[in-house]
Amino acid sequence: MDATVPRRQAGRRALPLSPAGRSAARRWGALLGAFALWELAARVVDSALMPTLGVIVARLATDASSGLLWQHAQATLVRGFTGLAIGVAIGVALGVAMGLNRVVQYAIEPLLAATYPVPKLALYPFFILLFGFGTASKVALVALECLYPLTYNVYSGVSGLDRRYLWAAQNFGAGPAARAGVLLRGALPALFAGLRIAVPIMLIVIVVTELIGESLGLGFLIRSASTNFEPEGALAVILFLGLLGFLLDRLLLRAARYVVFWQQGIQG
Amino acid sequence: MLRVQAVGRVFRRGGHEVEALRDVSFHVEEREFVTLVGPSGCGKSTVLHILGGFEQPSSGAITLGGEPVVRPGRDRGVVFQQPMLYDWWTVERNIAWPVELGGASKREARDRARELIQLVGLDGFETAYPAELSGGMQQRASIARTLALEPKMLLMDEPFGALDAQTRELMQEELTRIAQTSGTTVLFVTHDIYEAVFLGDRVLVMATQPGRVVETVDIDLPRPRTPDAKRSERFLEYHNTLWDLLHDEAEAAQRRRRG
Repeated sequence: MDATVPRRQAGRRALPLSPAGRSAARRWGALLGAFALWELAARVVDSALMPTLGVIVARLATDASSGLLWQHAQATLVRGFTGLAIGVAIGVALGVAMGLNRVVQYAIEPLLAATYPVPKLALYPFFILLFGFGTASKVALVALECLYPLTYNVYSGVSGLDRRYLWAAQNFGAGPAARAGVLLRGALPALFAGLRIAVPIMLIVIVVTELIGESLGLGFLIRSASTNFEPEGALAVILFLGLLGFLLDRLLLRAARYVVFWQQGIQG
Repeated sequence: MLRVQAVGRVFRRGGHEVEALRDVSFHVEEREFVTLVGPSGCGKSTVLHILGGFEQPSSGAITLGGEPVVRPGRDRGVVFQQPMLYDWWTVERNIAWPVELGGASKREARDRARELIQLVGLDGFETAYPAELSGGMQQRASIARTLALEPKMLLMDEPFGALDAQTRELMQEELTRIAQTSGTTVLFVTHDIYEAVFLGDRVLVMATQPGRVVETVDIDLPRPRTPDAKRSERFLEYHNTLWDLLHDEAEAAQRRRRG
């Protein structure tokens, strides 16, 4: 499913590029445009508070080669993925239970619907009271935020799975464990769809929590650079976060194509 | 022998009750091929789901070989309208699985799967995944997977309904061949009168609102049945008899609806 760019009809005005070049231009054009706009603005403003791309990238290179970036990125990712893992475990369990059992669905659905729109970040001060300033409160918040897209997606995957897949397994005399295997594999595409929503949420939440009262992590790095009047330091980390999010999404997409190879139309 | 006695099924839909089946009674002899024909919505699939043990009747009783039918079991092999193959397994793995669940070793199961793949004419596609097969080939694999149970009886729910006309005819001929060689008892649900006559030793006619069996027609055509059978005088007579029956029932149902 690499051809995500729809083919234009022949005869339309086209860029003077080879087909591959045109495809790349469509794919990356908007991103390059945004960078160009920033560069233009930075040059017009001509202030240390709005550094040019060259300055930001140079800072990124410095922080990467000094090891500073990795040290903080590691802390962020360990916390983030721990929270995500907890979110996945609870989300899959809840989603499967809701998809299989109408009583559970009736009980849980209003709770989810009522709490989904509440900004969970607003709970952070409360979580700090509950779990302290350390890792636990951050992990808990990430898990809670990731829980929603995962639960909803797994629930819709399980409830949307044709029940005759399970009937066939029953017909063959498959036990509960084998039937659960059928169910989970049938819901895998939905789980990946949920993960693609949850991973960026994980990055957002963990970085925001690190902005507050923390001495480690990419969020802390952004705040400390800002308080030291080093906007290029903060922007370097933000650029890095963008790269990281993009990379994680591509990895997830690769994994999805490999694991749920039978599913068409997983698009990047 | 399969015995269906006075089976009724009532659904509850938004406060009021809907009678899907009323007093459905019939039997299927050993090695008999019985087709169940009726308009859409007459509850013929519901009958099959109840016989498969996936749904429970509201009243009545079902026995197979004297044993009551209350839950899914390997003695009744079910083929659904859609192939329902497991997309993440190869054709061979799909067919070997029910053999393994019957207690065979992996090796035995694989050998048996290969035999069945030959029987349904899918040789060369052992390692293909379901998504790589045409609809007709998927349904062949699905039938092979159900035959792997070595069931006393096959329950088939419009298995050729989603196939194109040519493939459907081919599959019908193959099914008569497979049923004859394996000596399996078959109950085959369809809305296609041609199919019902071509396949059946006996045709049960269902009517709608509520779903019930209104008529039984014995089909006295020689076997093995070839495509030529469909053009014979006798075949067309059976077809017309069934067509009239279904037509009259449809009119009666319409009158009832209008009150």
